[in-house]
Amino acid sequence: MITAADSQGDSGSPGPREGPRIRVGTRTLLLDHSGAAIDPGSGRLFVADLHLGKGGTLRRAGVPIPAGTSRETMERISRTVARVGGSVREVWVLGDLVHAAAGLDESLVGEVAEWIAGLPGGGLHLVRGNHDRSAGRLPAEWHLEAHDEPHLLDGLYAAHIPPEPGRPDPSVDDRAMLAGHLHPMVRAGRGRTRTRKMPAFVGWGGAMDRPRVLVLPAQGRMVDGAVIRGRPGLYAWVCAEGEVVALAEGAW
Amino acid sequence: MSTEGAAARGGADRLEEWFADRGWEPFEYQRRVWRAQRDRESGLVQVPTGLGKTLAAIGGVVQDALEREDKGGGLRVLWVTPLRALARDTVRSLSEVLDGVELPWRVELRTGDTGSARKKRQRTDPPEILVTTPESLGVLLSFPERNEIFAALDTVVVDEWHELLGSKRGVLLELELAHLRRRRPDLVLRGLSATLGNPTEALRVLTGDDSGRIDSGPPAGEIEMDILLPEDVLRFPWAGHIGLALLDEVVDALEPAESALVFTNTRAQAELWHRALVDARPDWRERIALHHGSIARADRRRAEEGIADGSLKAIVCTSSLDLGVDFQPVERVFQIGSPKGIGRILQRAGRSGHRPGATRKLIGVPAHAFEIAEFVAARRAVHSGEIEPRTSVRGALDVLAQHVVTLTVGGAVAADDLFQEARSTWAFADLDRSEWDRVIDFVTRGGEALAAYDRYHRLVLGDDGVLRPARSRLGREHRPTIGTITDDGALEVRFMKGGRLGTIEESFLGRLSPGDSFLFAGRVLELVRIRDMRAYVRIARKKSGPVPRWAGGRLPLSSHLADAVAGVLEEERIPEPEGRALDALLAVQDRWSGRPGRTHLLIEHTRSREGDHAFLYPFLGRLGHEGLAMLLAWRWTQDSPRTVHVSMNDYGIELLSDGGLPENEAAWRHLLRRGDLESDLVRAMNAGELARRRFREIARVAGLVHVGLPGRRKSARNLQASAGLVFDVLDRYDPENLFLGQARREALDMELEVGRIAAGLESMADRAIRFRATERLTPLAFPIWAERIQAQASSESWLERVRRESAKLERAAGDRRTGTSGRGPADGMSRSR
Repeated sequence: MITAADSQGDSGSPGPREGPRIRVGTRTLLLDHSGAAIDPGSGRLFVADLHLGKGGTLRRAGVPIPAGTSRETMERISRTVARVGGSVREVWVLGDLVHAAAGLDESLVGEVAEWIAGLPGGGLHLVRGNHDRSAGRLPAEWHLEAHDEPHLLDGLYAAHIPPEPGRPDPSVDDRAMLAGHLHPMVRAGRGRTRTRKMPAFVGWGGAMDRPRVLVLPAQGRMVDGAVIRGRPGLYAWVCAEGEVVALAEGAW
Repeated sequence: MSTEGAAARGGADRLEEWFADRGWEPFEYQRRVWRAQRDRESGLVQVPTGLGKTLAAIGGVVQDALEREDKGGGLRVLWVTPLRALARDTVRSLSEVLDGVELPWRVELRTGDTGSARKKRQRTDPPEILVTTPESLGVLLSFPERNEIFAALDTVVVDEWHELLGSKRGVLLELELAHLRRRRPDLVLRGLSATLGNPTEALRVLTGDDSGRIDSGPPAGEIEMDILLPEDVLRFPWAGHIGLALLDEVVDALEPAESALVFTNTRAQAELWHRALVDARPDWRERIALHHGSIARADRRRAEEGIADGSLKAIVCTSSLDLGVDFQPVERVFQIGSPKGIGRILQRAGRSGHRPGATRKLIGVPAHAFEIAEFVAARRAVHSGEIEPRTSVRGALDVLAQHVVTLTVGGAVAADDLFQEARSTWAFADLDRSEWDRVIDFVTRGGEALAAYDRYHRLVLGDDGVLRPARSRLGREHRPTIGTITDDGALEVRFMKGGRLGTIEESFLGRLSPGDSFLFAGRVLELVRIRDMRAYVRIARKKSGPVPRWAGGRLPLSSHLADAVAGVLEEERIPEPEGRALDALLAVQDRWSGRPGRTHLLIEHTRSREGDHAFLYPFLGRLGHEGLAMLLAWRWTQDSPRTVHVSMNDYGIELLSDGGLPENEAAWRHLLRRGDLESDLVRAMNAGELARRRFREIARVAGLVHVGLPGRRKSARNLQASAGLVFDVLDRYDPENLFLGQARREALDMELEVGRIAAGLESMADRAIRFRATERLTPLAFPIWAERIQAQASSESWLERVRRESAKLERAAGDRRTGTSGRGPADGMSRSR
């Protein structure tokens, strides 16, 4: 998706304002306007839903999507890593690194391998999402450290598909969770002044400064977002114009 | 049976005999068209509904076949109709004629609903007459068997051509006809249409050249138009009101009618009126049906049959019943709310009294006071025989791209032949080589900037200049996408137990949560859940709920009618008796400001706590005003930073500024200049957003987005990308893309009616400007103001605020009353039913 947040963030404006810090389970996370969540304590940077190779999948099916969307998705994450600085030691993908096997042609596989090698620590952690699973075995040259969801990490779950709000998931205990899958976007305001849809972090359970579940927006350039409508018990932090803004209940 | 004896008699005699057996006498125009058919002359037949145009078109074909003793074998006549519902009736009436004259031909139907076995058989053993739609014809052209199917094609009849003419479906048909003409140069084309304002153009679009004749049917009978009036005319009405104020009067007028159609302008309005009528007369519950485009086809069909067999008293409907579905003419036709256009009113009135010379009756039900003027204006226009022209769509490259793929999947075709075919249509007569090359680039490589699309496989252009499909499965993938009708993300609405109710836009359903209730298909329903593109519902316990708003509900007033309304409103005293109902309102308008008109431009200036308001009345219709208002606001904010809010209805626009407004004529003239209208508009409107909206349709038609195939939902999931996303991606990576350009152009032409704005600005430049400083909102200004408030607020607070304000204005009008306006005591706004 192309939003104001992207263009602002990508332009590398000097000293972008730091996003809100919230507590998820045992960890304090920094919400970045790129849609990444950073755990400064452990040096982990979390992103979700890259859907690499989606453009190629579509082209192959006869849908004329220009090339370059996957490359840009990767570059964007690299820029975020560079901007956050040396504190990032590991990059974690909360599912759907790839879109479908059909889109993973040789050149893309090589590009991704090169990109991963350039990330901090020279590798990538993946919590497999539904798309990763149906894509089959991912290329060995990516040297992924792949985990099945939910993956317990420092006292919280790293997962792809979040449980439904208000409906406890029997497969996990009540530890907090980071997830993706929903590609959340929100529209703030109402009537004529209602904004276009913007990528957002969405959370629920607990309280706004310490939600039990936090869902990250999608990173992929070639990915549609799903507009989540505000309702009591849901929290949203919208990525707009190079900032992350917490939305009050009733404002979206 | 005496087939031989019958053949001995001339075909003409047998047709005449068949008429005589039924106690009919052919109309003179029918005989003329039959002769034209014999002379193999194409043409357009304009005739009001119910006056035998089917017989006019088929009669000559039948005579000819009988004369030649053509026993058939192979497709002779293609009968193209815009509506599947119409197709069935057409098959029935054509069969009657064939049986009657003992011509052993088959008539069959081929639409999206036709079973696959029959469709397959039709490809190897086509009937002599095939009744179909432009989309199904496209599918037929995409099969290799087309060489045999169309080998003996003799005549194409296009029914309801006026309906297809103004849309991209018409463009699709033009291309198909061009292809058929190349195969069969002697083809006779016969267009059937309602009376048109521009028959010559309509004929040209059909035939692609200057050939052909125009025949007109007998004059339709007089149209008697009554306008229902409330006992009290609401003094400050606002648009968007559903006009239930006249419910009692409509019930009274329905009472004596054996059969009636109650037309509304929107599906939401139809739902509300249906509900209101049934609530008002519970004894009519089983006798009043609802009919609109979102209701399940079976239910619509039941309603149509109910009117025919007399079990129904009335149908509340929308434009879904505008077209000639051949049910019995009804006794009365009602039009709820603005007539919107002259042609529309004629067509709807034509639903009653299907006999030449029979008087057709239409009862106008204004939803607010100024709609009385609209009905008066429409009635005058109808009586003086004016009617709007229908303009056709040109340069729709998305349709062309789709058509090129359609023809190629049916077998290799020379690209140059297709170019010549396209150029022979009215829609693409001006297509130049470079545009054509870009279309070919798109279907072969995905686009020109996209040469790197290594894996893009649709068509291949060989060195021999011949287009071929790039893979064998392409036909199967392409056929379901043929056509230009976009389902705007509609979800099927079903009962939990499985009964289908119809479809509703996702945008409405998405806002509901399980347990919420809403009014649809004449029932209050409760949403249970949404799954797999279906909304499951049950009957709600609640008595009411919101009504879905379907897209496209806000049809603007036609330019003809808008002009006529301006003509009525500028009269000092409206001569028609209904004018009395407007006297009080216009007296206030005169006292506080003055009248708008066609020879001057009225600008009212009012100051309020909100800021400075200017109200202008160009009468360009809602769409034109939307663009004009944004243009003026944008130009006014260029000089200095201010905030300008705008609002508009069919009559005029409001500019509201917190930083002053132009204070003299020169400043207004500067604002109202023609200037570089197009580029100013693009910057003023969120033109990008509008283009993005247009792109949805274009992307689907051109094949820029993948349309899921039925039964392959799961496997197609990986290929989902919304048109909005594709638009954004192209805008960024391929900004010169052919279809982005088309979307931008269509946004200007169709969403903003830039032509109408340009004409409006040019006309205003020649008119005197009359400024009026008013202390408060005038009767004409108030509805425009209310539109803005409605857009800002939720419905409850909107109604409250509008009621409050109108009560204030009402008091002000009363205080200053001179005592001669003769208003009744019930003239107030607050009366409710």
